[in-house]
Amino acid sequence: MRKNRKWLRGPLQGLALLLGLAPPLLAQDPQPRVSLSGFGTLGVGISDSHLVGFMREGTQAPNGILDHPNASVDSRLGLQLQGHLADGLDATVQGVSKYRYDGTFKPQLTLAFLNWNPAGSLELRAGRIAIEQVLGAASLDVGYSYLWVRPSVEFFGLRTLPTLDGGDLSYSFALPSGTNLKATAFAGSIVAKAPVQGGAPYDFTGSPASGALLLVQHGPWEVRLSHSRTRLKNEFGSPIADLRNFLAGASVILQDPRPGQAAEALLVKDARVHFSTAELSYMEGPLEFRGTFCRVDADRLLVPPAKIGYASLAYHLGAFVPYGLFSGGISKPSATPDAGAAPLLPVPGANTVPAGLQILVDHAHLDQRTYSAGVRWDWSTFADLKFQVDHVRAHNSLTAWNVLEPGWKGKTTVFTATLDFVFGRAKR
Amino acid sequence: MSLTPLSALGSLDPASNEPTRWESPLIFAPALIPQEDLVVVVNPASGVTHLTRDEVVNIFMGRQRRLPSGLIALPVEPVADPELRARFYESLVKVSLVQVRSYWARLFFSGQAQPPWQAQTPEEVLQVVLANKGAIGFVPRKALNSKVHPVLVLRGEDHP
Repeated sequence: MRKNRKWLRGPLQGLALLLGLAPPLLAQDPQPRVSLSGFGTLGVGISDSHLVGFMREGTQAPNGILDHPNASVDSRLGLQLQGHLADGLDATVQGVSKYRYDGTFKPQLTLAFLNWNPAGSLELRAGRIAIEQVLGAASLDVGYSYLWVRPSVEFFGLRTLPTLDGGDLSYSFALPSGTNLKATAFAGSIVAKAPVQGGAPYDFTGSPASGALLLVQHGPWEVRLSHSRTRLKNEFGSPIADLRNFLAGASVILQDPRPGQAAEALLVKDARVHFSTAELSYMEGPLEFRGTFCRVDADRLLVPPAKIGYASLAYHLGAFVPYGLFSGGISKPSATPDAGAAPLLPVPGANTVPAGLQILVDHAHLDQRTYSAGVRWDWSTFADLKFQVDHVRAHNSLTAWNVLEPGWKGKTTVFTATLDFVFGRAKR
Repeated sequence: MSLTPLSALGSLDPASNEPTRWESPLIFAPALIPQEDLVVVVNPASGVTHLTRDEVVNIFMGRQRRLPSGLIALPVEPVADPELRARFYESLVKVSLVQVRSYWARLFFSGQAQPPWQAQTPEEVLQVVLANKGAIGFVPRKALNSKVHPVLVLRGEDHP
């Protein structure tokens, strides 16, 4: 029996070390070797539309904010465990519960990595990481960390790299002028799923991604330049896969190449997507400004090339921060594939194929602008209240919406109030 | 924001009756100085003799993890007096505590950096600095003692 327990010794010792039961590594280090912190947001939103649901991000909720109060879309809770393992070696684990692609609040592992700082300028992370390609991109769930009720939907919600399983290597140094530079290279595979209306979620998991980021900080100014790329590993499931199979079969039966070409146009596997971003931000005194642009290069009907960006300006008046945010995105319009004579086949639902193809094109197309204004009130040292109004205008673009009924004119106004809070080590 | 050259600091013991070059009557004339100087201090064994303002910014804002001597930096701040912290950050990076809190929430919850350790009082900051080679803290000048090594002075007249 005693012998059988030997295998436990190693893991238990490691666990004891992590939980602070082992002798202190740094006898006089005042920092705890393990700390638990957390963050959360309680948000309620309502829009003036009963036709389309306003979505916060593409990997979230299958429905959205409609013309009755919705407390799901903008609410979430996160916990983070931080372990100081040795001099220059730390571990971070973070889990977040939020409204997911499957309509549940099932917790997700958002961060789980080891961070090694072997020398002054070098830093290596390995595990599940989030890349801060633009300011705040690695902490989108932490409402307390940014001004707005939610980050730009067009920018962060639809066209950014989510969490990666992999690693990154950073090298930072300061110039004699006082300018701070940090260069980061990263690689891994994507961990994310996105809902598909009326069908199986799209699984990004396993899609390889890599890129590089250059951060330049000088006084109140900060510039970020990054380039990243991914190659999608998977195809869409039902109902897109069903439509694709039908078109491919129709092409053979009808001896018509057009349905076959339409079927091929729906393929996304091995699609290469490149993101090139540039960002300028300024924070000094009462003024806070941020402007970000991203060019997305891709060549598939369902993953079209796009240009997206946002600009934000805020003025700090003590604990109150009024702000304005403009964001928008436009993708290259695509022609609806020609299904040929496939809709005429004596198969149930065949006549809906052209409409189905049009819906897919509209859902992939991005042509939307959002004008937002709001105020953040830091009424406590660990919590804030925010109120924001978003006016959204979309043109033949449904990529950010859950469509309940046809007839939407492309204009919606959304009102949202949130309470953000942090606790534990993050409470300052 | 102006910085006092460390070579001009003279005696570092505030209890000393000896006038020092940095304790000139002009500097401490209440009518002329709205706020007290804040002094950034390190452990004498840290291998650091002075720091520039940018180096202090990099350490306290989580941009650099190590002191120039190579030691892992342990920034420490006194939190019992929020006004003291506010003056430090407004003097150093010209942002409010509200912005600093939000800034650290972003870095901390993305796993990029650890926020400064929070001591209660300036005296506790000095204890932490004395007990840890890599520690770096800030205290009002009146709390300074000769056991720690000052590396940067944020002049009182520059504080908001």
